Amino acid sequence: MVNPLEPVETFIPLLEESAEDLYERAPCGYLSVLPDGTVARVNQTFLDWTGYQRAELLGHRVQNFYTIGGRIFHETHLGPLLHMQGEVRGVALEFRRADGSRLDTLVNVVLRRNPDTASAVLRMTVFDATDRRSYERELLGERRRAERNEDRIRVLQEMVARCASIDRAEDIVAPIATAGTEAFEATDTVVWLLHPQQPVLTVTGPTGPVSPSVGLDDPGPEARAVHAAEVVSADGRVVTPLVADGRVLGVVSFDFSAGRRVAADEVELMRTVGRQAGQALERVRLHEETTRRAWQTAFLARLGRDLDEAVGSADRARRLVCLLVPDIAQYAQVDLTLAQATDGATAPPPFATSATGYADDVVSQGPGGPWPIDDGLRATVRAAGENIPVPLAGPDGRSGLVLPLRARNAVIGILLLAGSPAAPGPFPQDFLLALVDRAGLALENARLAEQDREVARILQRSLLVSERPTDPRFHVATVYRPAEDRLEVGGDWYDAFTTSADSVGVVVGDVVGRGIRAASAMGQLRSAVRALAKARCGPAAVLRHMDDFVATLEAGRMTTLAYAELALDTGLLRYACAGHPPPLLLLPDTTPRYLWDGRSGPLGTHAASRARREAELTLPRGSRLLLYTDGLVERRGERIDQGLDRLAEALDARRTAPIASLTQEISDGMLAGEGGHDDTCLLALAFDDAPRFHTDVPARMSRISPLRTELNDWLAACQVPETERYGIVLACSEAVANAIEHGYQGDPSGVVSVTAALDGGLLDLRVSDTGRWRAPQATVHRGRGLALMGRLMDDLVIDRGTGTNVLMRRQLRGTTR
Amino acid sequence: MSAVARNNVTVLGRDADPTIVFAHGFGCDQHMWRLVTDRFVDEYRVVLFDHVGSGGSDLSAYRPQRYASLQGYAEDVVEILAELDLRDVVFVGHSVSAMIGVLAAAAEPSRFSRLVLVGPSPRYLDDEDYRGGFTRADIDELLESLDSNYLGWSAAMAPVIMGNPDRPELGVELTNSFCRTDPAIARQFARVTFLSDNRTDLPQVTAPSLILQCTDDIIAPYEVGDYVHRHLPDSTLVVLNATGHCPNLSAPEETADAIHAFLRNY
Repeated sequence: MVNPLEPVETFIPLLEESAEDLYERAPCGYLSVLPDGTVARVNQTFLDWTGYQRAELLGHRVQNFYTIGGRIFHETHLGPLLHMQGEVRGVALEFRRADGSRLDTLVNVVLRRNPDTASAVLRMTVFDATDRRSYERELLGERRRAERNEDRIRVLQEMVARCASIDRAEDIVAPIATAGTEAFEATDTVVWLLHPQQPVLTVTGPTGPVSPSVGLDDPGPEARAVHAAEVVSADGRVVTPLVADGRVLGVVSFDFSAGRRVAADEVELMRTVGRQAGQALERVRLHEETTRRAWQTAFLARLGRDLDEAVGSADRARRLVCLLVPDIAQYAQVDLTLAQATDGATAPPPFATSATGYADDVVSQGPGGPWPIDDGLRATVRAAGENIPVPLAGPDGRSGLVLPLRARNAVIGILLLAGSPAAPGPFPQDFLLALVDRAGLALENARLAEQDREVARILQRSLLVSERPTDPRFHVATVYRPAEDRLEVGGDWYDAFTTSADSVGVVVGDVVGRGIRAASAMGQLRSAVRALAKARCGPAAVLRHMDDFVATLEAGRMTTLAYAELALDTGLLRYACAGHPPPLLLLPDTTPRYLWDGRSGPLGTHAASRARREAELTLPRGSRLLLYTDGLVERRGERIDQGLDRLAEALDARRTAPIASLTQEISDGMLAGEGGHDDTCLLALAFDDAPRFHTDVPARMSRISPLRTELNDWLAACQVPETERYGIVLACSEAVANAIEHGYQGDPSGVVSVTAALDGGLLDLRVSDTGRWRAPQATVHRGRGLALMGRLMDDLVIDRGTGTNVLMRRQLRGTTR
Repeated sequence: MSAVARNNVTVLGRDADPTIVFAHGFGCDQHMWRLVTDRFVDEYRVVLFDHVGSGGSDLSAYRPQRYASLQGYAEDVVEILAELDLRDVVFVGHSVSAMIGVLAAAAEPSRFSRLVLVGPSPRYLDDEDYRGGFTRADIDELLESLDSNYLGWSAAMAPVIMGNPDRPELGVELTNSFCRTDPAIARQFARVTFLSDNRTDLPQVTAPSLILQCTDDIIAPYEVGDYVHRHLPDSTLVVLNATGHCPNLSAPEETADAIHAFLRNY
């Protein structure tokens, strides 16, 4: 027990020897070093630890006994610190022992200056820190690994974050490459993506113009990693699969410098890279697929819409190739000559406009066309079925794809595509199939519509052209204008026919619908109206019978028509309108007016058939009646009454125009500036003035015979029966002979004027001369002339003034009609 | 962030005077120069700075890619000069900063009137006929030492540095800055420094230059200084009596005298 009150010195002789021994055998190394590093003094402990002889150290630089790292540390850290601070404690220094091994130490260094001599010395105590340093190394190693893993995880987190924001599959390369470099110090990181359909891995990213590819049968680690769906190591390369939902989408290969050992935890991290990037890739693929599908759907919709807007198969084919370039391909060619190569499987079109039924057989868009297509290829395409597209090696080495254009289970042509699409591809087969089916149907529909229109036109023309009644008492003129912007013919019609010797019927009608059905329905309705009108039962009864008729004819329902009958002798007009615009009547010396009476509904409507109405009025000669379809008076953006007003004005302005040109002028005027979006039909009926006969005959007996013939012909044209004609002609020739004989007394320069008029059944005949009458000489047969005329005609008036006027009248009987 | 703030730039002296820029080497910071700059502030505007990763620089500005070669540090120097609108400066670079100065002067010659290279080495590694002073094994050992003496090379020694008891604020300042660095940055800086090869950059320099070669400098031996002298156009080689690698600390007077003499003559 030490007494704390006793002096310490008491114990020193017992415990320690000399100060020298204390220095030499101190439990630490001790060095005295000059500022430049020269060792001035060293204790035994340090010599023991390092294995050097004292002489090997003294006079030499202490730096020489450091490791290289120690030397540089001394120069760059220890020295400056001593200069700045005068003292450094507890720094780690590595000495090199005499046997070359390393001695880990901790040193304290103090700079001692002697102010008197301006000299300085460094006192350095050295503690063996082997155990501590090895422990530190372990700790540091652990910490380094932890830091490294932390770094790696941070890098991988960044990679995952970057992967999550990419929109395109190729964008995944950069984050993975960064992770390869920063997390694994890979010398090269390559991303290989698996082809969606084919067993091929292709390098993705900026690899130059040609991306290297390997098949899955390749013995290399990339293909093996795909098969194993697991990390594969080989020759300084580690390949990890890109996996999503158990499917391998590709691989990442990390290359390492020689001698780099890849630890198990690194492999685990690489596996994680593959999983994370794989999921990102899958997401991108789904996104891309969704985007692609949406675009494709929109494209097909646009394709259908745009093709439908084009008129005719040739236009549609041209529009088709324009629509396909450049979205679907750089070059597109439509070839519709396939029909020529048919072997009977496809019936030739019945109303072909060319050998194939298509106006233009080959159309193309894009550079370098058209590509030649031979019959062998056509046969291949026809036989391809669902195995499309068929690859084709084209001219100048380009490669293309050939697809069949199909419609109604037949191949109607070939679509050829070449060059990369501008839209995101590749296009799946179902899209291409939908495309060619849609395009094929549009082309075929256009061709059928062209045929249909042609048939309907022929039919319509044949139906509208028929025998016109000829009667001097009335005239009929018509105009038919097909719509300009419609493919198909409409069902408008007109007709004019005699219903009896003194009656004419006119009709204008409008069948609902277009095309062949409408045209053929029109033909039937037209015939029906004619037949019914001849029964002379009146307009209302005609409409009633027509109602019955359309009940058996589906296409005729809702037909509108205006029908009128005019009695040529009395001028009585009977008319009826079945849902049709009103007839327009122009009487002499008045303004036009619409006939709003006699109206009922369109044919075949239930309500209309109960109450067919008609109206009548008597027309004076010189009246004109217009029947028309709504296309004439309807104009976009205009009320119907405005159109009717325009029509009335147009007629009023042309009241004196000849009937033949009247309809043309009205039609032109009414439709001017209006594209003609509907068929129009216009019929004008003129109830003419009484037919007149007039001729001036030279006062020579020899001219009487031609006059007789001329008058007889006129009477015949006026439907005057032959029995009546004889007497009239005889009376006329008697009167003319009297005028030559008595008026001019053989003077051949005289002129006898003969005028005849027929109004209703009354014939007026007037014979005039300007000669001076002399009493008849007693020639028997001349003297009988006046009596003869008196018997032949009902009235005879002789007016003698300057010249002689003989006026005869006869009410005609027994007409042929 | 401005380069001035990023690199903790200090400007001493009068604006009207010609400018001399001091760049510290591997290990410490601008305080390396404090014994030398006193000799210049009367005649020069003195510009000091810390490389990114050292001293009072902005550690957050450290980008491994940018500082993966000395070029990044040279760009920092040019940016500092551009920001301060400095031309025709005298650039004094110690140790690795000598080569940083060479790169900067080659890139923008108009900003540099003269170069002073203190203990320069364009290549520390021996390379065929070239003697840099270090074998590949040496450098590997250095880097391993750097790894294992993790605490020693970096900030951990700061707490044991004793401040001046009379001026505690100095101690705090030193504790916080001098020779202190982020260990990861110190590792990369050492790697970049000791693996750099700037031999082909030497002939690009057009400004007159002074090479200050210490006696017995194990980091930059005489042969290396001589190599620099032979390959740097218009250069002067002065061998100092000072030993070691840091004459700016061990022999500030001699260092300053040599620089002054050079600047008077060129």
